[in-house]
Amino acid sequence: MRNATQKKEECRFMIGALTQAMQAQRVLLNGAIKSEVVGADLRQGSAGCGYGVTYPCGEEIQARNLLRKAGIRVRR
Amino acid sequence: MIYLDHAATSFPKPSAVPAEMLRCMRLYCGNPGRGSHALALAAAERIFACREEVASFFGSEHPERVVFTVNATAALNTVIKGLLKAGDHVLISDMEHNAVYRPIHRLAQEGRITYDVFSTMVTEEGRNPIRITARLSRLVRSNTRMLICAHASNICSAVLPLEELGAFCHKRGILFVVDAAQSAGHLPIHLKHMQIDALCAPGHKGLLGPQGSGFFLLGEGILPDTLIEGGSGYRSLEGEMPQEMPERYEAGTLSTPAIVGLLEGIREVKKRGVERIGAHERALNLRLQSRLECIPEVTVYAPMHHGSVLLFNVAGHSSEEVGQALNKMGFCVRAGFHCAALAHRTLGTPQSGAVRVSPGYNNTEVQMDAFADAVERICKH
Repeated sequence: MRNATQKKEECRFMIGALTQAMQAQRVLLNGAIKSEVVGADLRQGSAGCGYGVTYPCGEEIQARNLLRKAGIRVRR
Repeated sequence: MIYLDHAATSFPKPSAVPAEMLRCMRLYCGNPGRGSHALALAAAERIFACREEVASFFGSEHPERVVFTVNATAALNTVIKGLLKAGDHVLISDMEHNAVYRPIHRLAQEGRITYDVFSTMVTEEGRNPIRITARLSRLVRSNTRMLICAHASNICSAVLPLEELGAFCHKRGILFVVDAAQSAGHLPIHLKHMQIDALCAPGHKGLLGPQGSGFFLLGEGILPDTLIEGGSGYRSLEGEMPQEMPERYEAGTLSTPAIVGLLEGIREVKKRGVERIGAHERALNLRLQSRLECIPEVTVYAPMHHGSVLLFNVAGHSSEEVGQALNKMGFCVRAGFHCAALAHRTLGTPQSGAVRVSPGYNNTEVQMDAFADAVERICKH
């Protein structure tokens, strides 16, 4: 289920449009989870540009829960 | 020069507004939503902060429902044309600006919709929300889909009862669209409490932002069709605009300098307090009105005392002559018809127009007295 690209200790969720990613970042930061907005990992078959957020890999469950409670969907 | 044309645009802006715009253009004006490098994201961060500020200022918990436009007219056109369908019936007030009247009139001319103009009773004794909605209910049809009204008039002090109109609309399943061009930053507005489906406003008037900024704020479940399509920085390989808000409606590059200026403008309004600003402007308006009403040659069109715009004419002079004379004496006011055909018709000034005085947050009682003195001098010549 994890849509994340592990890079050292930083993972990322693909979110979607920029404003959604900004909202996701706010939610994570408010939950004391370090987060940055980043460009989406564009793979073959993607619909084009998009945005995601980073989070510490060790905090995936908390991050995912916070986003779910805020109504923000994490995309594959 | 004494500036009394805040209904056209507020001036001067608080110093934080141009300062942040300049800082933006010098330091972080990347293209928001186009790429993910540091400057694009820095611009995007400030734009999102402005969405949050706009949403909370107007009682919404959804910054993603704040859509930036270049002005209120663009916002109204998008909402009106994006929500109405063929065969719909629309109600607009008799105090509307052409930003509402013209798009509605055009849709009707094309045979796509029908519309009726409802009376706001601004010139009648005993005007109250109950009587307005009682009259309004007679105009509702089975296909009435939308009611649009200006919260505050752009030519006189009339203010419409949004809470009652919002309740009226929602009871009947009618979309409630508000043009807040003259009330945003002057009067409290709450999207939820007033049951507003779409709120449209400029950034450069009462919100003290720069020209080129405007927005609409949508209620939950309101999803207009797009008016323009193009790059959104998201799902770029697809032919359709994305469904996600606000990107769905923001095709093309946003004006980051204008939006960060608007952010500072709103913060200034919050610091001063919207109620205090409005009360100050209304007090200036009433002070001037009481002076002008003592001049026999002057007719003041002041149906109500809720807003901060005052309209008058001087017997024997066209409104343009009076406006020019005041300009020579150092006063900036607007004469003519103020892009408000319906409203001038309602007030009985369609032939000659009138002179509009609109004090703002930074005007003083001394300035209003000086203005009244100037009008007296014009009358004596």
